Amino acid sequence: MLKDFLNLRPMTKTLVLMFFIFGIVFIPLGNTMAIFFLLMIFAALLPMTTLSMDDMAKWDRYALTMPVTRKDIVKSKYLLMVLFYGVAVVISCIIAVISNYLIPANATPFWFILLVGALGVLYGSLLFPLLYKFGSEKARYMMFVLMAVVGLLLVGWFALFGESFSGDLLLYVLITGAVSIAAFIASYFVSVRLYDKKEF
Amino acid sequence: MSDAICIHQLCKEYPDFSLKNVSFCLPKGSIMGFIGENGAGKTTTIKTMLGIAGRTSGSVKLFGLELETHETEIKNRIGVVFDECSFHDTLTAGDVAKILGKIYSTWDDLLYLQYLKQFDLPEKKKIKEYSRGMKMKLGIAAALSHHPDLLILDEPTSGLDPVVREEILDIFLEFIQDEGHSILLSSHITSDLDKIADYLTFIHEGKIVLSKSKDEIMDDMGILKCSIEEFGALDKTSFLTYRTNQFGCEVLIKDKIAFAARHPEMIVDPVSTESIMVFYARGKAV
Repeated sequence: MLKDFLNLRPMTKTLVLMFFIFGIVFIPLGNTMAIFFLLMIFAALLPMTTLSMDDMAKWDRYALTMPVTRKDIVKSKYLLMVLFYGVAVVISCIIAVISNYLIPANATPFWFILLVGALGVLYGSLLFPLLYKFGSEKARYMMFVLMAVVGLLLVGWFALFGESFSGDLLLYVLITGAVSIAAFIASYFVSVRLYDKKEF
Repeated sequence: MSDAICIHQLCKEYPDFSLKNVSFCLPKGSIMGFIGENGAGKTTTIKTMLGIAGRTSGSVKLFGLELETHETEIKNRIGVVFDECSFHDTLTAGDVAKILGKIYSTWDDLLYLQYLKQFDLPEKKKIKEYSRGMKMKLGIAAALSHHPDLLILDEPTSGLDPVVREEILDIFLEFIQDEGHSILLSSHITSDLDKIADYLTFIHEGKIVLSKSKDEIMDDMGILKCSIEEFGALDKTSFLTYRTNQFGCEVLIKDKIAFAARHPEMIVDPVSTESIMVFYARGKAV
């Protein structure tokens, strides 16, 4: 919903500046991978931030007095998440193109962005039902645990498929992506159900 | 005929608190004061009534429509203000209009701007920098700007100074000029309700103890002052609750005219909203 954009507006300025600095620091180092991770983490964290802002302002009980359904409220959060992922992937691609142009030796394969993106989506899918279940305060701690879990998943992914830099690789990336999207959709329905039962 | 709100046998169980068979009706075109001490269940009733918290049993009708089946329609026609400002601190009054304009089909931007002007609310200033009174007025302006037929206000005047309270009450009186409009106003500031309410509903420990028109209450009820011996000797049929102090006994009476006819020698004082609230909350049942 529009409200979340308006709320995040003051934050976006700082974020853009940060990415700019990261870009300047990391691209010459050839370490663009770190940027992709950061972008994805931010993409997952921003919707979460809006949720804790809502909690603080006691927005939800007010929103429920308006002609919107509980489902709409959850849907708007998930749409927001999709949007942020989209933006993160686009920015990642732009950075990748720039760095490939500047330092062709360090070229980052496109599939890598896709992989990180998929993991980001997975992270968000796991995080949001927890946020709805436990509230943003408690879920804050689980967030870090989840981050470690997703990190482990990534390591595991490389251990499993990373060796075979062959034609199959793209297939594995696509499967990971598909799994993430499935998890995202499932996560939405779980969240809707959790939110339905929630009281304010 | 047509009630703006009609609640029937509403129950809500919490582990440490419950609403028990809350029933009352608010006729269209009037203001109902919803009174009770802190924790009596005012906010819970309002939340349960609006489906923000689930209910255990009972039915809620607004404008004669069931809440379950006509939720969106009903919610387009009500304006709600909670005791705390529900808007995010980082927004401005202008942002609020942008957000709500998308949500309500009947949002009126011009009306909203007119209210902002009337309440001296700067459009560009962040809500963080607003005072408590300003936040409350912003909430009311927002609640009024989609032409609601019913205002539901949860302690809109608590924590505000008398000047701002007076201002807010005037807004409510202006709103109620239209005969199709109604207000449910929860408060424990009884003087506010004395000024504007047509009906009074008292809630205590999750139960409605009294729900009547204010005139009826003021005409019928009285406070009898007597000694403890006299209290023991009297016929207790018209007694509701009583309190004892070092000078004797004070009794809340439900039909003071009939009682005075039977006991012309006794002194029966008129009641006030505040005294009724205290009698129900602190008094002992007869």
